[in-house]
Amino acid sequence: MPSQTESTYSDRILVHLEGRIDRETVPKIRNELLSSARKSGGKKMELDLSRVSGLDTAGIAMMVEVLRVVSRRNGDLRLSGLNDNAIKMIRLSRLEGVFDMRNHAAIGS
Amino acid sequence: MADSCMIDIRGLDSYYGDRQVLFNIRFGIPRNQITVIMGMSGCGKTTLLRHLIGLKRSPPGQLIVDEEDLGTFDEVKMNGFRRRIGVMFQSGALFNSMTVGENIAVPLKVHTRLSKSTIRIIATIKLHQVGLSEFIDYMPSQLSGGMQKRAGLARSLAMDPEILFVDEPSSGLDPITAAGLDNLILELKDTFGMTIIVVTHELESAFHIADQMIVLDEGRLLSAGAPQDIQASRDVRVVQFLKRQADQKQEDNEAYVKRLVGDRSKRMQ
Repeated sequence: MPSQTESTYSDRILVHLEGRIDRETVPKIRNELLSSARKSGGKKMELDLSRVSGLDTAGIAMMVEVLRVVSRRNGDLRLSGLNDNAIKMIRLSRLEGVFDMRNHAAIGS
Repeated sequence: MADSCMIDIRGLDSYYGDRQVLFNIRFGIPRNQITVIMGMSGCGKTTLLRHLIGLKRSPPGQLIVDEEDLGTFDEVKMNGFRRRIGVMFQSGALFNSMTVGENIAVPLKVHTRLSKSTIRIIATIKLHQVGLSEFIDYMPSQLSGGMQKRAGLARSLAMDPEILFVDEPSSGLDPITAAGLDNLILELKDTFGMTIIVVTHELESAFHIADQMIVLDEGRLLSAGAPQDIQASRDVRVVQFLKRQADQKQEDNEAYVKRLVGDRSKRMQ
């Protein structure tokens, strides 16, 4: 089962995702994630993917939706904790110039 | 079967009515690799592909996928298998009454519970991979044949399939677009670890992408191996195919005349 935990700081919202993020699991976590994105209100939003065990195009598409919501509120989205497979998926989707990506673990706690 | 083989073809015979078109075909398709199936027109490539994707039923015991016998699958199991595969048909095979984007959405709408918005983004991503994202709202009839083919490839990728079958990806495409598709196929293997089966006549493309090559001739397996093994083959028919030499084999003239005018010896009696 995928899961997400959210922490709110003065300058950002940090969401840790865990498990597989794919076409089977995206319908279960999308609404909650978009709801977090709506709350970001101009802050930086960070998705920590360091505990994500698999990612497919549906997972990437959900992150694009999050990016749209955050951008409309003049916020920024950062992806962190990316493993090699996630980076390859983002490259294959030709989105490496769209996301702010970090391959190290999420900032702050 | 070697552990790394995803599909094992064990002596496949195939018929159209009484006419046999495949004869005891045996080879393995390795997991996470690109297998290219080649051969002259009419050699049985398309028939073999139809068996591999379950469009033509295989006799039990002759086609094994992941240790399961495709020839014994009922409709439920066959549908499960079809969810794991993507198929790009030679013509693109798009639904003409739908936009290009709606075509790509079809498998996602049928097999997943993703939202319309997520599906639309996936369709855009897949079309962008084949260089067509700006055509998402076009009708297929507004695209050239080569563009329809690329849109067909985008649709076959919609579900991020475990096994991808591609029928003649390069034919009818300009060399630059064809090279782009070859690179995409290599990238798909690298990123997803996809098992990819490509049917093609295009030698340059085949040698660029193949991990393993299969050469068919008149329904029989002529040669199978790594590209360098095929290149080094001394088999007359393989050499003829690779050197693009015209077939010198002449049809029996007497049989030809008989077909045209009937059996003259009988009429003389």
